[in-house]
Amino acid sequence: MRSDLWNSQIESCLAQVKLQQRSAFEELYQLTNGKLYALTLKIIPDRELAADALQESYTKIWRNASGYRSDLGGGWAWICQLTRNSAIDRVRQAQRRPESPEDPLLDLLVGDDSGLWQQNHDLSRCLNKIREEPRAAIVSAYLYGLTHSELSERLQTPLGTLKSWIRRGLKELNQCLEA
Amino acid sequence: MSRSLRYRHPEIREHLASHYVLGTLSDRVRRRCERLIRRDSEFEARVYQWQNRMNRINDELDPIAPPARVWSNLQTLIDAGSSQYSQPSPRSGFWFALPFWRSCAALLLVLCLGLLLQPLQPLQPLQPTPPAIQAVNYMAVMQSVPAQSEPTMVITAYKGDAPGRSHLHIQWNERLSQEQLAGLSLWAISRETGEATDLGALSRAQSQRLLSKPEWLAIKDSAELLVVRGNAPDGPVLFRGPCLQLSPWQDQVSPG
Repeated sequence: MRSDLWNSQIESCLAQVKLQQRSAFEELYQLTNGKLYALTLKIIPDRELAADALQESYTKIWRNASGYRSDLGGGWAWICQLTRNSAIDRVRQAQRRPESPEDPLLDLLVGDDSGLWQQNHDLSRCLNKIREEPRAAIVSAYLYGLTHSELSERLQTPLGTLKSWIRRGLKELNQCLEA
Repeated sequence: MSRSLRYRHPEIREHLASHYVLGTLSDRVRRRCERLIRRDSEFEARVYQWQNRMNRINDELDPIAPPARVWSNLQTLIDAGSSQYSQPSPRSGFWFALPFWRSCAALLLVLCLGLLLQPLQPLQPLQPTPPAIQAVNYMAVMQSVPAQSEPTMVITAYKGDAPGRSHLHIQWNERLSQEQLAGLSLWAISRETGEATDLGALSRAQSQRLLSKPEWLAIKDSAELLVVRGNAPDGPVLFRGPCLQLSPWQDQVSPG
């Protein structure tokens, strides 16, 4: 989990990027580029293409920061969602299927033995309450930006079953997170 | 059931918000969701909630340095902003049809902010490392209610170097026409108790407005600032913005 200080730096930068302050944009870039490149690489494993997508994401952050609603949620989450959406768009435009290498992070996030993942926050606690199959489907969809069909293929599960896992899994997740 | 009615159904809205964040929606449905986010603030809030929840996963990623060309290209793009960023946006209208004036006003805004952020620094040649600049201690970027596409003004607070010298300042977004400030009051909302502390008439903050100790402490402890019509905190809220601490400060012997 990022520190409160780091998050407040992001908020401060975004507030100033809304006013098109370049120095704040540069600071935001310094604070976030490593994480956002790692996030983009999960969806677009090719480093060069991922770098192009990252550049596009930052361009959108610069242009669309005024659309960020700090009263509704964190700036870091908003930036990550914007970056994921850009990367997903790129992957789909190129009609490329993401590769499916072994990923220790997925094991960490999904596996039952996930003591390494922070147990003290709500998402990991609630994910661990749902069955492993829906859990793997939800985390894989989020991490790799996979469509239902791609997930169905990757997890070797019929499409209907896969959709049902995700739908019910998210419902259970929502109930747990709101409890 | 028509699409607009369908999108009012709580379960469908929940499904859309969660799947939008997850990334599993088709491109067509995702675009529809994005239109819904823009015009339905309740749905937008649901999306933000899912965004915040799922974002914990991104915290587990180990950073990887991108190629240096990403930042250099971004700099070039921003430098060429007059052509890159002045393309007509989906918003239409007089302002957006005049890239030149828009760029001029943006430059003016940056200059104004530059002056605002260095209120006590005397004019002198540019140096690589600026000498003691008085840093902004607290800042609230104020949005109108309901929110427009751009923030309306920035309110900043500076800790004084002596008792009675802390002060408050407002700066309008030069891209927007300034509204009349008469009859508007400024309030700090406590992050602990939610109580509102009166910071006086907004018009007083147009020039450098000195703050009393209780007013400074109210800003320090505030979650957000509100501008309301009238002199009571329960009046109609016209502008609001979260209050951010941008730099640390040390208390004086007799703060204020």
